[in-house]
Amino acid sequence: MEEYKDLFLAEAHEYLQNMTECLLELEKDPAALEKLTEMFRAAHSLKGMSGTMGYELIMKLTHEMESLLDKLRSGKTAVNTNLANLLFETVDLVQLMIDNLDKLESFSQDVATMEEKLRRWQDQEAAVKDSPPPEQAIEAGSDKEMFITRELNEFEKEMLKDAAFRGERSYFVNVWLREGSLLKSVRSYMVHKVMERHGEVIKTFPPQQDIEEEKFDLDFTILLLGKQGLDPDELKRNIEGIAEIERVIITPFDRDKQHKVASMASKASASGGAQGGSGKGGAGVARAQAAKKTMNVTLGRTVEKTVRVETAKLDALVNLVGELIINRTRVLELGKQLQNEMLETSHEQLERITTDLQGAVMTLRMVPIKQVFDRFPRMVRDLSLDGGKGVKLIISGEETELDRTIVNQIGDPLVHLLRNAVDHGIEPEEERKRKGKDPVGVIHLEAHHEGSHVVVSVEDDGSGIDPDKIKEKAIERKLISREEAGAMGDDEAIRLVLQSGFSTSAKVTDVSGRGVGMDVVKNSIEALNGTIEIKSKLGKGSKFILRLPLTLAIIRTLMVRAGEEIYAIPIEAIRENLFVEPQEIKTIQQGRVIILREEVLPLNCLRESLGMGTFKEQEVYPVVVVQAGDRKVGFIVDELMGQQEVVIKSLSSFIDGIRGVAGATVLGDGTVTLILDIAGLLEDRRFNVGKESVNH
Amino acid sequence: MIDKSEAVAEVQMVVFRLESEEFAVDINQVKEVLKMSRVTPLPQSAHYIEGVINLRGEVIPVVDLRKRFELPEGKRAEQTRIIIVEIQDSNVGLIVDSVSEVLRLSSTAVQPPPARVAGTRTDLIRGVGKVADRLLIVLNLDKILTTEEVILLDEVVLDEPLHK
Repeated sequence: MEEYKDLFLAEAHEYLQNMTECLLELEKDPAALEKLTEMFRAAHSLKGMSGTMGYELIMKLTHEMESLLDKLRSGKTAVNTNLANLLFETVDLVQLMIDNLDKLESFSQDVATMEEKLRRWQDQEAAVKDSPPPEQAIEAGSDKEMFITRELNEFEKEMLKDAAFRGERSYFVNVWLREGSLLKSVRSYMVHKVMERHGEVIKTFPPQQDIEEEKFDLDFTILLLGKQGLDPDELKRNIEGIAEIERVIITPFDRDKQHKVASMASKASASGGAQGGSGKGGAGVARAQAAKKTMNVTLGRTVEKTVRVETAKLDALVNLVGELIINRTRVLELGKQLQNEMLETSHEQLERITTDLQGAVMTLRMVPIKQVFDRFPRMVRDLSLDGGKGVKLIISGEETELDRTIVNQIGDPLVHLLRNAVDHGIEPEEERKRKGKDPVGVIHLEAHHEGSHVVVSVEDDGSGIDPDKIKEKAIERKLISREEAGAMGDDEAIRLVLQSGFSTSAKVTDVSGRGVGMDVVKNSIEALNGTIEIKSKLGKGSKFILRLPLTLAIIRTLMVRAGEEIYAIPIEAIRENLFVEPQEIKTIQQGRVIILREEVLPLNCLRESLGMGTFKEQEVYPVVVVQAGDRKVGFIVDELMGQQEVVIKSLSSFIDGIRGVAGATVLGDGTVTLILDIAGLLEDRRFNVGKESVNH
Repeated sequence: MIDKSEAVAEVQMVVFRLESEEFAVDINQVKEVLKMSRVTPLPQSAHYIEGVINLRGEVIPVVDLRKRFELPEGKRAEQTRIIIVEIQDSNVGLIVDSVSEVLRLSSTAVQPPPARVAGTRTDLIRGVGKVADRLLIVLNLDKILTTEEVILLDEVVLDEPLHK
């Protein structure tokens, strides 16, 4: 069973996420019956899975949840905040249990309490409902009929309409299996076979695949387009002839009535099926024929479009492709030396294929940012309830893809930013009204691609950041002097919130202050080779813009030689390359500097900074100007060797604590070259890098 | 740590030389032995870390064992080898003067380190193995990269002179 645990965890997580989404939707639109149904199905699947895995407590809880949802589906109570809260609580408890599968037993009390609560709602629900139990079955059936009707697509509607013109009638066939029936899928298959003798199966509820996989309780409903002159009684007899069939109810399909019921039940499904010219003769029939074809395809077993792969396997694949590319470079170099035309042609082929392969493999690592965004609607809802504010979160661009490792690491910074926006960006309702703003605050969370970057932004329409207040606080905290504050522009002042030491508490707390943990945000974004930008207008709102690289596995670097060693510097960190002559170099406080476009630029010898040698007099010095945050320095190197894409290899865990080195890569000739981490190099005191900053 | 070596009566050890001492590591921990190759230096790492090498696409750290044991720096020679060992699921290279042989030792032949040494440096020395008139220092590699301790071999061999 253990080996299925990962699969269980992955799927359970998806179902829970799905339920959360549905709940949020239901809160907005309590009449969204399809969301209830979706949630019910998720709960049902989760129950089944937990049962198979032997997680009895989860099974019990999801069972109660399922029952309540089922009652709600056919009941009259709309999902209100109280009910949503209860369901959210249940989802949370299930999540908690799933996260602590090894200590499952310790939750038995919680589960019992929760079960009790769920049952109380169920009883209430049952009391509201006036229909006596025997009819409930039929009602449940008609509920399914309604569902099927609503799910019909245009082709199917056309088809049924045309069939009606030809005098072929359609029926809902509701089939009940005997309690405790084994081989449910076999029985339903036999039912299906019988149906096909009598006509054409248009749609089923639950969907065909779920029936085949026994994902239904005891009954299922089929919409059958009967053959000319079909006798419903005969059909009924035939189905009842199958073993373990308890009951068969056949009701005629009345398109108009069904449609009315369906559109009444759902405000959401605005596009009715009544459009489309009825009886347009030949054209209509042709379309019906086409519809038949489409349907035969859709009715067949839906082929899985995705495959779950362990991330470790993916990483191994990426690694292998990295190897392949390194060796390709090597072979290409050798080929050039041989100067054989045929060899070169085949090398070009090889190069094309490997480049494509690299691209394809990199896309495998890309995942939609949705994975991170998904948890935010719930979070913002809770935060705004806690704070007693009305906050609307609008998410866009959640399909934007980026590297898995980055997706995994931007969650926390985004939580910080959103929390700040809710707690301190958006004003209390009263204040908003006074300012003439909409009482409900809006936070936009957005992601999009921009060249080889992904831009993620969090924007609120709240009070904005007051540069003067920030300056005051910075002076208070001794981050800047009063004179510095005077000379500082607004944008620069606002950036002070990112400085460490600006916020009072360094730790992330439940109650955030503007600036709490903002330096943490900045550091984690920079650790990903990203940048953060703040735009804020007092009284109008603030926008935090994160710019992140698409992938961390392969980066563009500039190769430089310092002494005997070659180092790779990420292009992101490089501002420009210069050649400096000795007479341009000045000395300030024992440090070398040059004046570059009226700015003082500290110069460092890379060899010296890395502790790999000393500065040597030369006729001309190649200089790489790099920047991290607002610090800009020049590094004197011995040779600029050109740009190269490199595959990043992480250093062994024994030595990965070294700042200044971001990783290593293997060159075409098999030697290892270090990739420098410019931010680390500039910040770590062990590296002897000039401290003068150009911005002062 | 003493794992299989006690269950099985015999252990196989890879024997190598540093300066004039002979050392031994459990063969189960040794993955391969390479000739000395170019090592990329790693700035600001511990002084005994020689740098990193490329082992079939994997970048692994290499430790200069002479420096680790505070022995005088040696010249790289034709016999210089890098022993690739597995420590806590990671590969690490160890630079040694030469690799001499693979020996079978009865597990009882490995004695705990001399008492005065044992008190302070049990972490790195597993014991002393006796083979005929030779004494082998049996290393416990698990701590070779993590312990901050400075190892002075003199103290290990103080009680009995190891070399003939």
